[in-house]
Amino acid sequence: MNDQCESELNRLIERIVVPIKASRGRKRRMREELLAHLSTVFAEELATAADETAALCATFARFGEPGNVTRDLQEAVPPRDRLRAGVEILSHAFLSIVFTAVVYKFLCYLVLGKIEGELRTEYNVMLPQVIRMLIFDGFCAGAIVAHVSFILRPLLIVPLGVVISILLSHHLAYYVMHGGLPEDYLAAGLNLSSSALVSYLGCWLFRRAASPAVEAKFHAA
Amino acid sequence: MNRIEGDKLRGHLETMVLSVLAQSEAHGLEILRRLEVAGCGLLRLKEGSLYPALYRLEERGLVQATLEPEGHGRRGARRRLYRLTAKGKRVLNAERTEWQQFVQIIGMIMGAPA
Repeated sequence: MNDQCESELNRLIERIVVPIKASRGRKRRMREELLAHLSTVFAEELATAADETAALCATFARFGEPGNVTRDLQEAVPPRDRLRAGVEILSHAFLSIVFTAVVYKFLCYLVLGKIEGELRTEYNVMLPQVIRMLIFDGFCAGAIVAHVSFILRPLLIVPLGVVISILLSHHLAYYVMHGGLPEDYLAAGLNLSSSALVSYLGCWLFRRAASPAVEAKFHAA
Repeated sequence: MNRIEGDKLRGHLETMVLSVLAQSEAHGLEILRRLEVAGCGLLRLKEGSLYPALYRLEERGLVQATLEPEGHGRRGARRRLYRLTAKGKRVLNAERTEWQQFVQIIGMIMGAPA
């Protein structure tokens, strides 16, 4: 089997498996089993077909309409496995949020600290500080809202929701922690707008990473 | 004789799979071959419809799957071997009895007893 045929078989498998809502383990088993099946059928067809293209067509015809197979496979996924798939997505989202929030926040304070001529030492890598930052910091709250809204809401509503949620949560957190609004509006504005931008980018990247096309490429590699 | 395909097979596929697995364990393609032989070439089954049926049977504990030790093709994809469980055997026997009754009753109604 040449590379092109193998790639076509993989493409068919991805068309079938990617839309299925199931855990990664179950989908991996499906992929492997379908690939083994299709490879064997292709070899059988190649023995009698005129060329590889004809063998591929015969293989696809024997297997059936991918949409129907996807629907039938989805119906065969038990509810607990669909739940597991949901938990996997949420844990992926949570890790993404924590990673974005922690990494970005440190970068932000390093940059702001340098702008002000000093390194902000109060946000050094100490566990209590990190926990406080994660719990109380407005960016984290904003990022969480942004990520959740990005998953749950249509694309066009998201940018507005991200900016508003970050602005509100950041100001609220600042007010709670400092007993008033920021004095340095320039720094606060820079922080807020860059938070919004990076949060939006983080959401967009997460969305891309979770999209079927990326999943397909990842497994085809 | 006309070929049997599509909707006519729906609802019977799982029992037929149990029946061919009663002979011995088999992977997906082998199950299809056995069905084809048993149906004298008159069964027209889209191969992709077999796996959802197998997964449902596995979920119900009627068959058990094990991975083949060696993979196939360049990427070494491994097939899964399915075998009937004790519960599967009991269900198959019950389904056979039920089927005989079904055929007998419908046959009498239609004036073509089995």
